[in-house]
Amino acid sequence: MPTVSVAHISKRFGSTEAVKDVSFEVNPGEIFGLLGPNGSGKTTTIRIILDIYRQDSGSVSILDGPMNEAKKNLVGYLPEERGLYQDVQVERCLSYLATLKGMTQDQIAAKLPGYLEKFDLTAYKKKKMKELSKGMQQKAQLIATLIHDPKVLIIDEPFSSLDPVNTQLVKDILREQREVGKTIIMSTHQMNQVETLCDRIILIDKGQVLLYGDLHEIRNRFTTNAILINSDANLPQGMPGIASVEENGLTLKLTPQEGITPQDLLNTLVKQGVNLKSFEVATPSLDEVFIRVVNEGKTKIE
Amino acid sequence: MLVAQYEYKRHVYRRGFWVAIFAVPLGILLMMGLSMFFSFSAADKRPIGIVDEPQLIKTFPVYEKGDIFSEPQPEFKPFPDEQSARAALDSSQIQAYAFIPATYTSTYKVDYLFDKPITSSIQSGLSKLLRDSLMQGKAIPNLTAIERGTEFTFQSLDGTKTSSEYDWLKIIIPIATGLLFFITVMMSGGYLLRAIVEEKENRTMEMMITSTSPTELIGGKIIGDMGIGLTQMTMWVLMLGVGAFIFRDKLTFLAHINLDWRYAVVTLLFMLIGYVFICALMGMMGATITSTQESQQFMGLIIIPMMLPYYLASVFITSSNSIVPRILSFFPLSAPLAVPLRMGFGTVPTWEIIVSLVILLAFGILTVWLAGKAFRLGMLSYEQKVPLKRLFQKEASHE
Repeated sequence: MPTVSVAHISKRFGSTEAVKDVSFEVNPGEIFGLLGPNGSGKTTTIRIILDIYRQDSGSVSILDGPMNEAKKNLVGYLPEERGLYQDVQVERCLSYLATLKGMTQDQIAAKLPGYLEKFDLTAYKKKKMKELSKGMQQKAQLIATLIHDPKVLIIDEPFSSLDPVNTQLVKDILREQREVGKTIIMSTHQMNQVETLCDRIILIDKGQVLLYGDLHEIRNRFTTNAILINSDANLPQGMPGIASVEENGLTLKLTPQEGITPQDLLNTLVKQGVNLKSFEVATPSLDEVFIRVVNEGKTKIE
Repeated sequence: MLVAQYEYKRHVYRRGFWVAIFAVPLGILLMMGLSMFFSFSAADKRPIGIVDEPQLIKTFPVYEKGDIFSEPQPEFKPFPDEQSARAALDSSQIQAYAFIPATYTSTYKVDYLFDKPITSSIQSGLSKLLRDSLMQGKAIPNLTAIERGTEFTFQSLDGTKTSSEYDWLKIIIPIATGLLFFITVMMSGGYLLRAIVEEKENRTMEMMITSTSPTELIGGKIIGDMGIGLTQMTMWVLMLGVGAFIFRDKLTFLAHINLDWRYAVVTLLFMLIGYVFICALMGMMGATITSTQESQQFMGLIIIPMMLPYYLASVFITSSNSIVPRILSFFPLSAPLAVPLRMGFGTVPTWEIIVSLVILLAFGILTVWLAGKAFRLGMLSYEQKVPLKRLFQKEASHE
């Protein structure tokens, strides 16, 4: 049974239709990527799931039913724009947010020091929020999202303002959460992070679903016969079976002619005496898929 | 209650809050001190005439010159009869005269005819002079009457201003209560307005509403800020009490305050409903606007109509039932100050009090409802103001 089930939701703000007939399901123990360009309706969708906005039509189920006050404590939310009291000490601010999530003072006292240590914020716990860098505030916000041990995590741009070390730390934490069975909905523009973390994704633009499904299956769907090779010699002119050659630094992208398989191309290259350092079937990056689908989607929508 | 507690502690634990609590009375004391200094410097040095029909006063005191912060002590000059005193007053040789009638020892009443209104030092000097004279007299004085003090009736030279001794107490009570109400409502309402706008500005709002309901959030903030207002009020009343206790010997007039229960109940009702109304109005504004800068402008829109009864205090004093005070009594923003002020200076028809109270209550309920709606509509409007007309449109969903 899915942890989050969104069925045909639509939401209009005045004359703007922010979300149009969006449906998807998020399963227990998976990291689900909610992707889309700026203004595509991601945040509105998240707010509908969290019952901040109410949809005009369709339904949302989270943890076996509609969102209610009691379920708020079972959800951890990291908004895109950071929301922390700037003139309050880190420790006091996090304690208050944890209290609002139903934690007792004893529970907070038992868990908060561990989280502060894990995110390397112990030395800053008495500092006011505004004295922290953006990256540190982001980590503090993540503590507020995780501390009450929610069953569902909804995180919007979790890697913004983080350096590579902290990005890795957050990725590790998200993987840990998945391993213990937490359901994670992650919205981000960083496709490389989606590729390394997400199990399934949905891509929406202008409020409409453009792509939805298993990440690998989607990437395979966009895979062509193109081959990426790395060679220290130039390719002979007019090689049979090759439609086009695209140079990208040391890597050449070869697009075979209709009916030519990667195996045929490899045989031709070997026969022609090309000294190959690497040979691989070009799988499109998620960035490429994103750009292609959004551009195609725009044409269709317009 | 968590939100209320946090909101309360967040402000009360701040040094600035306590600085404000002590700074306001200190500022008032400073202003009083300055005004005393200037009024003492410009005090009338002419003597006060005494017409002593029962021949009570044997010797007239000679006072030493005090420092610049001491109220100048009056010089008393005896006159054989009222005609000669009046002639001296008309020719500006004296600033006033007190007429002690032959019946004084039974009535303890004195008429005071003045060119310039009596000052507290003249009055206390006269009272002391009479008390000492009675105690030194041959007849056994009525100790209870002496304890109560002399009752003065004041009349200006041209006869236009007549009042009895403690009339000013009637003025000071509504003005002081109104000021206390104004400062309290502005401070706690201001905290509420700023708290909401700040949470929108620093985006805390989104975190909050995924942890608690909008109703609990706004309710908690209102309760927390009311607590702040009450704390301030309690502190000031305590300071006032301590001050009154320390200076009780100099504040003998306090014994003459007769608080009318009708006045007290009506004032309390107006101020309580007014407090909720104005706080809700500020909450509503906080939810619809997007920056603290804008909040300052909107505060002005509330303060000006609210303070109109004070700006027009002279109209209230001279003619409390004229058209302007009556209009201000029916206008919800000015009513909490206008009605108690009118009651302090005259008699307000009961129907007017009831109508004014009903209007204020209706606006109070409407504003609380609108504030809740504005909060739901505007809590996540970070960039755009919520147009007022949207508050009156049917709410299909909590967007």
